[in-house]
Amino acid sequence: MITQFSIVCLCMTASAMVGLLHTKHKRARLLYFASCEKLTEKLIADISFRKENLCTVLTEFAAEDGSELKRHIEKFCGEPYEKFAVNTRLLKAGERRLVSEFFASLGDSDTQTQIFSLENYKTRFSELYRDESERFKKSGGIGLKLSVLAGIAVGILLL
Amino acid sequence: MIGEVLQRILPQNIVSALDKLTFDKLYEVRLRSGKAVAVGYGGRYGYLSPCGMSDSIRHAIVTDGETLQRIVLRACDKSLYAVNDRICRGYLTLEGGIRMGVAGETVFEGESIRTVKNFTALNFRIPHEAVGCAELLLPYVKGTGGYLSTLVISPPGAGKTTLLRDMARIAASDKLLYNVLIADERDELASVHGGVAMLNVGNNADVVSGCNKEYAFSCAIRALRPDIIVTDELCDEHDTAAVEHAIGSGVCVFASVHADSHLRLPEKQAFCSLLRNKCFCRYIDVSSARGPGTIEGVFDENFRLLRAGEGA
Repeated sequence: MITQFSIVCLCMTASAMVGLLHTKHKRARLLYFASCEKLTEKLIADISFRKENLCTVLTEFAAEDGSELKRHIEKFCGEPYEKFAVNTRLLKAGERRLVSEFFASLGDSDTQTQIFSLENYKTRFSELYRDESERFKKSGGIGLKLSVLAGIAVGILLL
Repeated sequence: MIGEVLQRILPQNIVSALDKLTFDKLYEVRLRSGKAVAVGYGGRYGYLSPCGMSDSIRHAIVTDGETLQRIVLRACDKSLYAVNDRICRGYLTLEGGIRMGVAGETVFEGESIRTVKNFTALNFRIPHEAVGCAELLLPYVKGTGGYLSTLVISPPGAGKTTLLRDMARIAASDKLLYNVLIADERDELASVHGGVAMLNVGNNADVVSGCNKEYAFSCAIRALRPDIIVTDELCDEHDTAAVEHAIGSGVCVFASVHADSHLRLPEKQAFCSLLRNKCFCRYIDVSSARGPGTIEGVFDENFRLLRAGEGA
């Protein structure tokens, strides 16, 4: 009886872990796009008025950011610009391309053109954040519940 | 410092070739899109080959437009927007006082230039300080009541900026603590980078850089109360009017102008008033006849010779 109960518990725990990881992944994506949006806002403000060096603005932002974007910023500022590429499993291929293009577009034009480009990226990051947020609201909690239920079901089937 | 800056900015093949040269003799590196890299070295021009300087174009290193774009982005720390006003004026000052001249497609908006894109040529001018080169002129530019307004006259590349910088250094290091204002419109005199003068302009020098002479002279006279103003390359009526106003206000001015000799000044419309009013007390003719910085003569306000020419 104890063995059977343990098997059910183990299956339930394992599936709950999968569910939690999935939720964490979703939350990290949400946080990432929120950070991207905030970063474009900061860049627009700082480039328009302070005309501060790009890496100074990015480093300031990274110091207060808790998402994976922080790691990308550190990589961007730390290595030759032409070698920079976004490599993360957090993003889908299209999103990775978008973020890479965003970083590549930074600092290579005059203020007016740069602001125009940043406004465009801000819109795209806002859309991604909005979509991801809606998806998270719909399936974020359900995913965890379903995986726990699936774990119980598997445990019962194994008995 | 110069080597480190060039190493950070230029592609590896050019850096390796430049390593075979002595930086003390290097004064210019010219990169053109799709063309061979040229260098000004030891008083003459040649092509840059992987083995160093060469007279033959056959083995010369060739750069393309994409490389030039990368160099510009590295030079401005990928912050083109922050230096766009300088780029629009055709140059960028780097650490160590290196001046990067740029040429490319200009984008106009109305009457003014908005930016430069698709760079076609870059010219790195490496400054060489000649500390003490103006010492021999001191008896002529300093009277009993202090320094005398002086105009340095020379063709381009003959060393007038180096001479003017040393005059500024001497005045700004004077034991009488003269306040020297350097109106550095093109960042050539003090080469300020990140708020620090890269070249030696003396202890008591205040540097106003990147602005036109009109602004520097009118605002800085009120705000900084200079005893001496040093400025490079007087060009038009606005520049000479600003100088005349400053001298009229009791400020001594050290300036320079592009010309063969002081005798050509009356031909310049912008200088008529300055000459008529005898604003400058000293005129120094400089040439590169016996190397850059050759003093051809020192003259007073009536163009009388005070000191005959010789190698400086």
